[in-house]
Amino acid sequence: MQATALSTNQLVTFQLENDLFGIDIMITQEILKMTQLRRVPNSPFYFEGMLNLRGDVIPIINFKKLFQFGTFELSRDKGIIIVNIESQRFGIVIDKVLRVFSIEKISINPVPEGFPKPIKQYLIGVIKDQTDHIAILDIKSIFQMVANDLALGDISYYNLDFRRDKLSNNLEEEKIILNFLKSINFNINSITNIGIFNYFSKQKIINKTTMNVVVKQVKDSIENGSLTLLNKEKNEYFFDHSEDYYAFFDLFDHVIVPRKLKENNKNIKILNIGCGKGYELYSILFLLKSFVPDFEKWNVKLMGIDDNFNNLTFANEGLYPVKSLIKINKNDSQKYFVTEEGNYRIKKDLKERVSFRFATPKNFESIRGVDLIFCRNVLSKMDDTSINRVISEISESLNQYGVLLLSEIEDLYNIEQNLLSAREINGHRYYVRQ
Amino acid sequence: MRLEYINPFVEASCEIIQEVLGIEVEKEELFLKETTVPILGVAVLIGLTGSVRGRVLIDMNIDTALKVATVMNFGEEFKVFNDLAKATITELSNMIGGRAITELHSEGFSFQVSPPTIFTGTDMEVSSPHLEAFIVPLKTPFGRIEINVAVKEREDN
Repeated sequence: MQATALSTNQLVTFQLENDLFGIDIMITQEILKMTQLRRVPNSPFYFEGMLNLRGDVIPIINFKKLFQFGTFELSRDKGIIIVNIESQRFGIVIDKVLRVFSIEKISINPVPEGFPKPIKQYLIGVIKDQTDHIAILDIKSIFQMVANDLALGDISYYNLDFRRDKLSNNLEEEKIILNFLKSINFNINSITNIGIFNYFSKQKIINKTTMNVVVKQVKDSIENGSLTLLNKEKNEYFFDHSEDYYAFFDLFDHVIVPRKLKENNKNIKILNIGCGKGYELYSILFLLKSFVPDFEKWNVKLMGIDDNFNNLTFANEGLYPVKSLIKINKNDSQKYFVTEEGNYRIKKDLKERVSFRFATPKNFESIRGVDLIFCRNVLSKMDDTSINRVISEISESLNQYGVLLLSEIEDLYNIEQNLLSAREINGHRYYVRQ
Repeated sequence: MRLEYINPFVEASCEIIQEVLGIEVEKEELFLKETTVPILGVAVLIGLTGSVRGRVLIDMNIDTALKVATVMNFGEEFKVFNDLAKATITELSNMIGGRAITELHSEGFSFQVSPPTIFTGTDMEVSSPHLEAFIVPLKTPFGRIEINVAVKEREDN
């Protein structure tokens, strides 16, 4: 039934990321190299802008944004396929054009079950190449949807900022929403936790109507008990999110140490903002002790600040229950702790390198000349004004070459500030003073 | 603020109030406050210099102050906040400050304190711009007493 949507047996095939797609050759007008597009304010998230093609203005759509996969950056090596549907023309951004592919209609397989519904409805079918599969796009229905979006005038997509929305005032609710989105097979790639909320807001993925539906369904789900609250205490153990510690170590090893060696300076000052009960701070210390050659020769000082006095007192005591060591093996635990009536106390030589301060992230004026600031899941819970104050305090606190590391799922992408600029090391983003 | 600076003030406040007034003190969770703090009614200010520079503010409302003064003057009842009452509250504050400083000295920090100054009145605020301030809220049978400490720490290396 769907196969009749193809008017010929020839397809133009192209690549988006590693996936192959095909469209009917009869609607394909021409293929261009990527050029300058004129952006249109207040347009849908998948709408890249307008292309001036020999005097005609043609809207350009990004399928990767529409279908939520891969990276979204436009670069010169990309291409544009201009399609013409009932004398309406649109452009599609593609990674690479492949070839014209001849098919017999009979060889088109229906879209397999298990394809996410949002994509499935825009596919005619799937054909087998010698080695790969090519998904045939139903361009007509895609553009009907696009035209609807544009014609409705409802293109002022709700800039959904979970982070500053009252929805995200606590972690539980963020997790509920996240779980909900997972349960409806929302394609969230690998972005998890708070990252997803920043991500939504950046990409303007959810429009107002969708959002209202989502919020209502989340509320209903909580009421009828189908969504359960995640335990907030869950992350109370050392090395709770290993990616962040890999990033930390890469940054330490490839950025901080080489500079210190060059300056012949053995002093390294590390600050952990929002250290809470000290799990993060001590994890860093364990990491450095185990993996930095000649760790003893470095004068590494770690400082933790937090505005919860009780947690801070706990961290300063340095006595941890056995359950917080789940990610530390037995040999290592003997390197870091001495046992004390079933609990584990941080060894004295390690404890001496650590100090804790009662301070808010907005004001820690006595801590200056810091080489590395590790600040996870602090900024993502703040409003804009507070974030800017924290950033300004951070930039004051860092020394000339100091760096800031956030958690893997956070960034300063949509925060207007001119104090810090982003760099990358081994795929981890970090920030330096401008 | 260094934890080492904080605990002496917390301990001293609880101990002095318990010892001198003979009442139970419940310590509520400490919190940080910046910029402007409204004053409850009676506030005693003690300046600090030495290892750190700053001030301690001991703050309570007028009813609490009158009750405190009564107990400290062996039951003499105060209806108005007169000079004797003022001197009494000042003395209490001095004791708290003094005990804290002694404790800090024993831990190797050197501090000097200024003579206490007492402020009375409602609708007042106190500001210490750019200072980190922490507040120890104490719940007593006489009412709430707040110990507000703001210091400028030296940069440490």
